Amino acid sequence: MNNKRITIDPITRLEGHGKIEIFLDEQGNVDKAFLQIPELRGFEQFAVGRPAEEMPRITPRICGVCPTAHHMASTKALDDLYKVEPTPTAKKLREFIYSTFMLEDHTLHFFFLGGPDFVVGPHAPAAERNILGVINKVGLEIGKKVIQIRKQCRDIISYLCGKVIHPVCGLPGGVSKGLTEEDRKKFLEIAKTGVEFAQFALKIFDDIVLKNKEYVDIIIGDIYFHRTYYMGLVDKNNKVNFYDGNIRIVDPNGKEFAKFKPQEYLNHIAEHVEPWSYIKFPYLRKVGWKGFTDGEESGIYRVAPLARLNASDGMATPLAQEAYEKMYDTLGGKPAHNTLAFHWARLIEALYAAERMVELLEDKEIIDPNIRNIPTEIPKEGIGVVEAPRGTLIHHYKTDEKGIITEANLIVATLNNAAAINMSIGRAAEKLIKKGDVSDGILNMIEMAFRAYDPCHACATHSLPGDMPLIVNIYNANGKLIHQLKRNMK
Amino acid sequence: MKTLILGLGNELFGDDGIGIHVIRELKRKSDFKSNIDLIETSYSGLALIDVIADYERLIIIDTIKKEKPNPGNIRILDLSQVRHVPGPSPHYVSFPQIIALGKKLGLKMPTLVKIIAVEAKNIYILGEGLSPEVKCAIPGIIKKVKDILTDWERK
Repeated sequence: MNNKRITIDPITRLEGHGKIEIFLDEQGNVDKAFLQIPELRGFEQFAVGRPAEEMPRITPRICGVCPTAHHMASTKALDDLYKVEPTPTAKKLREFIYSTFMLEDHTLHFFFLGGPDFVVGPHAPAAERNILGVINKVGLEIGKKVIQIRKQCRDIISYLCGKVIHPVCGLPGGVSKGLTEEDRKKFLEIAKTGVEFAQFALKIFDDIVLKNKEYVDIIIGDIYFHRTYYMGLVDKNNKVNFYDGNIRIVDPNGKEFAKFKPQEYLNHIAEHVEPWSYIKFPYLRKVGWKGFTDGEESGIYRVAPLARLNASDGMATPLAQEAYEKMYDTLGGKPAHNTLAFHWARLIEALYAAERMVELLEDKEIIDPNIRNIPTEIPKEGIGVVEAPRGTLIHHYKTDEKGIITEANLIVATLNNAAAINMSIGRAAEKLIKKGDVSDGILNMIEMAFRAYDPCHACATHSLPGDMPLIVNIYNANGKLIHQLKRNMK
Repeated sequence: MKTLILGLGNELFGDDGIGIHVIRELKRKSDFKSNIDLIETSYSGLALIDVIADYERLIIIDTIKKEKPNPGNIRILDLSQVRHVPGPSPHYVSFPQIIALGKKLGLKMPTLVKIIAVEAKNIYILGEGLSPEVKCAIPGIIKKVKDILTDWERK
């Protein structure tokens, strides 16, 4: 028996976009594959000693792309910390702000992510497989609409959350700014445009992707397919909710496996450490860690659009529900295990977000002036959970009786998917590399595997890519680098 | 000619805040003409399209990731030297892409662009404050900004 132990020095941590290491066995087939995702380090050290009330103001800066998600999770952690219930109006305003953010993020990301893979085509040259290629293919009007909707959503959030870079509207027990009747009407028009736009995006998906057999085959094919557990927030009817509710987990057959209050997450989620990465991989405690494998016996679970739909019993709004039913019909039932369907689910969620915006704005209670309950309890421990665009986001703070943080933990959305992302890359690599033969199209096909998750690659930092493009290193059974694929700089 | 000096960064991530610190220093110390704006932002990706639209000239100050960094080292880059083939995520919409996208959508985008790229020591660990090497680079960065502006004035 040939025991080749390959250790990847954890000191060679990721400093760029992504480094994928693929190890081949003696036959030249894929043995292991690893994606090194940069993770958030030092959160606890950073938080300890700070007043907890500062966290909703500071943590949005952890992510330049989804600050609102951190702001909301942090604010909810403070509600829990002070055991104060927000007023009904405050809850509605927060959910409205949050739905606006989800609409903006989801539609934008579809056109950047799913668009290039499907609208332009997975085999198109790299130079075309981007948002510019999408606009070329579907027309300038769509590009303009995407930008416009995005801007309108951002204007709504700036209005309600302060004209600063990052949102500052959340307070323990409420929000800092209410909505006037005049603005309610104005925003309602924008929300209705949002619904139309989300429907339009789904129609593009239908026309260009679903009517193209080649694309459908890739979506339902076995390269991008894993039978995992799925996790997401659901309301009291088990419908998808981004802002609040209980955490629900279903097994690979779609059966409810667990449903619990966010405060109980540590009873269900544990972390596994691999020697080659600084990341700790979350997994389901009650199933156990069985490696980068799928199926009922493995504790790996997935989060984000498709996972949320899988973990729910449906969408809470009618048009989104219709779209949900159509997706599952096409994919052959529920749960859907096809990774590329994350893009489809993302559009269904965008539609729900827009419909929810309309619903909340049509509820007159949203302009009520009672927007805050002042906390009265002594703080001790608080957990706040929301569904960020990329998955379940958890903020957890412990404080002394003056509200100064003594311990803190943060599980970002992508971390929940870290194990699944590695598994997806491994599977794609396995199917595409045979007997040491590495074809040209493989880099893109491997990227498609993890792009569907829209991972927060060092979402926090701004840096220019420098000379660190995406690298795929392929090693033979002796650990010798035999092939290197790079996404080009120029 | 409207000019924007844009400091990009995230002060929560050590050296990644350099762009922000430089803009603040420029605001404190320098006396620019009224057609020159100084903006600091932690926005990422497509949101930057709103920030840079309607300016003719743009200087960006940002950190750059290198495999073996020489912290505090300053390089001046043109758009052509920065990635324009998109990365694996919209988190990484590059400047050439933003400008190309803006133009395509009929927005007015800067035509003269220079990027002051500062090599960072540490950008992945949460913590405020610049490393000494990067902090010492601030006067050098400010000088480069002024050199670029002078150069553009001449043309």
